[in-house]
Amino acid sequence: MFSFNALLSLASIGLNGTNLELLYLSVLLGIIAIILFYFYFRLVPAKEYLQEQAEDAGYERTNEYVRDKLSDKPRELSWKIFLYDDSKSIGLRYLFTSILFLFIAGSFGVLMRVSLTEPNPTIIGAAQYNVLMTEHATLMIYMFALGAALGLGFYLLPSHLKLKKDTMGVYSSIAYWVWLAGGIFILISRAALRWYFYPPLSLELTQSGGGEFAWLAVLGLELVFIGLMIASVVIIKIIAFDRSPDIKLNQMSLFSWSILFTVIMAISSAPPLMVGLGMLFYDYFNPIFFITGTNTLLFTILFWFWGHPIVYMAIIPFFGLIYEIIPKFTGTKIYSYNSGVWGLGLLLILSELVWGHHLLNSGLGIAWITFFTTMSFLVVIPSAITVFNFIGTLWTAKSIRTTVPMLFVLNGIVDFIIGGITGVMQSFAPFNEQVHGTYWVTGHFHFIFIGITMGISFAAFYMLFPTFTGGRKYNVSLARWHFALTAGGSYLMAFAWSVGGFLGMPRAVAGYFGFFQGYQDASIIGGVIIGIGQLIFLYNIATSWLKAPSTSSDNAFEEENTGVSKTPSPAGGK
Amino acid sequence: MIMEGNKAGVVFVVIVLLLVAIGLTLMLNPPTVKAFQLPPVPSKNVKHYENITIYADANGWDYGHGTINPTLTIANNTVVNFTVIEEDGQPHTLTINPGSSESTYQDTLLSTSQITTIPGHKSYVQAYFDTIGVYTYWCTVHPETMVATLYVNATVSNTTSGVHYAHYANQTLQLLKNNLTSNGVLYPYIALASNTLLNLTIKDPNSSNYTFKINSGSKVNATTSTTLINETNSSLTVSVPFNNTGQYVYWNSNNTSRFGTIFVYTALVNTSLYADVYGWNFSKSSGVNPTISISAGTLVNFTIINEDNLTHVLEINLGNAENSSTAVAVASVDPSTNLTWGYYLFTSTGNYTYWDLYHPSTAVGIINVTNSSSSSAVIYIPGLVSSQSSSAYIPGTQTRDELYP
Repeated sequence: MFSFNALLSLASIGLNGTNLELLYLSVLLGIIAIILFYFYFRLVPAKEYLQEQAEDAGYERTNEYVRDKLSDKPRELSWKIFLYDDSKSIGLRYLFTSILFLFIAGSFGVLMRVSLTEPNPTIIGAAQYNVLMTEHATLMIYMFALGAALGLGFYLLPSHLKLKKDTMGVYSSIAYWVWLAGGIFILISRAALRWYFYPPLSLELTQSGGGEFAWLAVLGLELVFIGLMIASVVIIKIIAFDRSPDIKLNQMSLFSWSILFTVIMAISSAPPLMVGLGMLFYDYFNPIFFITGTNTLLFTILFWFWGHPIVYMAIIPFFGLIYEIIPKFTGTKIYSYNSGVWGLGLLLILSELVWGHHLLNSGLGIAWITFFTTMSFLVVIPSAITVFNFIGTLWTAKSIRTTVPMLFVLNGIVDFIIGGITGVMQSFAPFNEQVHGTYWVTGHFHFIFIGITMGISFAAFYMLFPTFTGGRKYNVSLARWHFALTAGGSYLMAFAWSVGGFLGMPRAVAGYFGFFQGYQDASIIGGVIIGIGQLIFLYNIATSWLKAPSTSSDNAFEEENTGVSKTPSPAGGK
Repeated sequence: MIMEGNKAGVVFVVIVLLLVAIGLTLMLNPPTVKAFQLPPVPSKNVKHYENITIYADANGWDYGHGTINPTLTIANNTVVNFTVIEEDGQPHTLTINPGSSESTYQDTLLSTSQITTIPGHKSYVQAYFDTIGVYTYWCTVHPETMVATLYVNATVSNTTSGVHYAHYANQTLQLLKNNLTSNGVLYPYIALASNTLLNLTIKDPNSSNYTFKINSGSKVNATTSTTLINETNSSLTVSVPFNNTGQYVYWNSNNTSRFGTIFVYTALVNTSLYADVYGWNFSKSSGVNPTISISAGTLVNFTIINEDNLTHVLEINLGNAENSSTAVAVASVDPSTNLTWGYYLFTSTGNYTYWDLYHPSTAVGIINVTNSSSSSAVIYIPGLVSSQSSSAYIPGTQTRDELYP
């Protein structure tokens, strides 16, 4: 069914030997890709259809029609999103692709949990476990978290900023396809090099090393970065130059600010690792960069210079969404708009300066350890500003409607407080030495990623559901079950990890000592509960979509920012 | 369309579940093919299988594991299972090409990413050899140090019998008007270290009838001789083991009055001395006038390199001091000669003195000859730069005088 192996081994011959097959193959595939993309961008019927529609509506230029009629209006999900290249279509592409990857990578996570029922690997082998772990981490962070952030950004920004033009859609479209190709490369590479891509493991093209086709993951990640860079530049251009003159910078919604900070972070942090990946790929042919001890440390530095900002990029857009969601269900304004912007902005600055805390045990020296530890403690300040801003908004609200999105938000705030505290504990160097490489770390970031990244994505999805479906309502009780199982399962799983990790349970291995059986069992139950919750979510989508439209296709995110409201509210709330 | 209307949700969920299934299938079937595979081995022609293990070290193949850069000998139509063990954490390749030196026409059997830089890591590769000849195996990262020879012979190789020789040597002889020659030298003397497998290739352009024989001693002796070749062929290779020291003669049945001699010494050592007015090896960090330790019965090939463009003569005599009456001039360099070589056979145990005829007060050192029981030719000589570690020396073009100091 899948001939990936044959194709990849053909390419591998070229990589390791002096054969010309790889060259021929790449040239051939490159020509095919160029032809396909030519048809895609020039000759697809939908473009003509869109043009006809524009002409019928009296527009000379399709772009103006898209901006006026499509760009800032709620958009239903349709297959045409792959043919239109206005921002909202791009946003829907990113969003739904990221959900696909959430389920793909999530299934890997559940399988990993289930495989740990016994201390020694029984269900799957250690090599397969390594592959699952690498793919789960890499796809979740680059394809789900980044995809959801970019998707919501592309989808909501035109409404929030009332764009006066929307002209860089082709670039956004190219960015999406490059990003998707990168994700597919990473997926089919079945690499086992963890999301760090550290050499010399990543240079070892064996099953017991980084995986036979680890080089494909390196290529894929580079593609993801290229897509991300293009998208980031487009988003900055949209925010900086294309927003309506009515909206001043200090009136922009907090979500727009969070997206702006996210893409600035991407552009400022990714290039070192992009260069590092290029050097790594060159090492497959001629190992000159990362072959000795100090040079591998150099790669870890290149990686974490990006690796820490990316985890902030995976939460900052969702902080922005929390700022948008809370006012909708409390009927109040954000407690402090300015401190919200400053909190997110400080997170941007400080997150660039704390990457060394991932390498506290790698011999950076006491001076650097002190610096990075101090910086990591300082991150508490903007985090606390943000959390207290959330709490202050809730505190001053007259009533809180506990709708499903709001439940996810409340749960996300609590999750972030727990995950944040367990996180900042790690920046204390002696404690870090204890818990480094244990499930404590896994528990820390799963609290935050499940609570904030995944939970707020679901909150936004539920809020946009009537829009995507053209006026259909989701089944609220099923959605509450989805929330309860996701939240409950994640607490059980991450708590069991945190406690077990505190006692020294090593992470990222296919087995564990029998001593930790209880913690592993608890996290398996938690993981399976999360998985069941997501099945309920899928069931809810399928069944709710089958019903007839019963409500308006507007949504709270867009209606108040589409210019209907004559007095733009800085926080986007009323 | 399929993504619109009330079925869109079902379609999306089906896509999600399908992709999850594909993803899980993919992950649970990680690729198991080797990243690099040689073309399938044609089974009908395979006559032998060899397992060869070599250590990859930037100082030379098998550095620290016996002979450095060992010469490998296999029979034709052999599948060799190479096991390369990483030694020093440096990147290495196992690259083989036909011919006696590195070339760009090469086949990298194991790349740097396969050998890896993890000391102790073993990597494996199979190679099939179906053409008789000389091959060079080397490391493209360290082409200067990690380069050695692999011979593919017509006959069964030594290694299949389970016997391992310390050295492998090669000599090609040509049957010319019933005389055996090599590069124009009639019946060349062949010097070997003990425990050597000599691969003799006899070329006979006329495909005449002859038998190639060898016997111990200093004369032709038909009764004790061994017939090695009794065929009519234009080119034949035969592998002859020489385990013990001594003298042998080789000859052919068409001309029993002429013969060539093979000397088997305890050991053969190639070593270099840098001639300097202030002492041997004066400019070398290893120390001036180094004491050389060898075992008795060793033939040493001294390479003299002129360091200061003066005249130097290497003299060697038995005893702890220079003795010009018993000393033998082994080799000399002068302003017009920068490099030369000479041989000296150390027969008795004790101390020899090596010195410079022109600078006897500064350039004088001791050669300590012990009665070592080891017959291995691999002898550690402190402070000397070994120009070629391969201990098998075949003076195919040397005259008799050069062989006998």
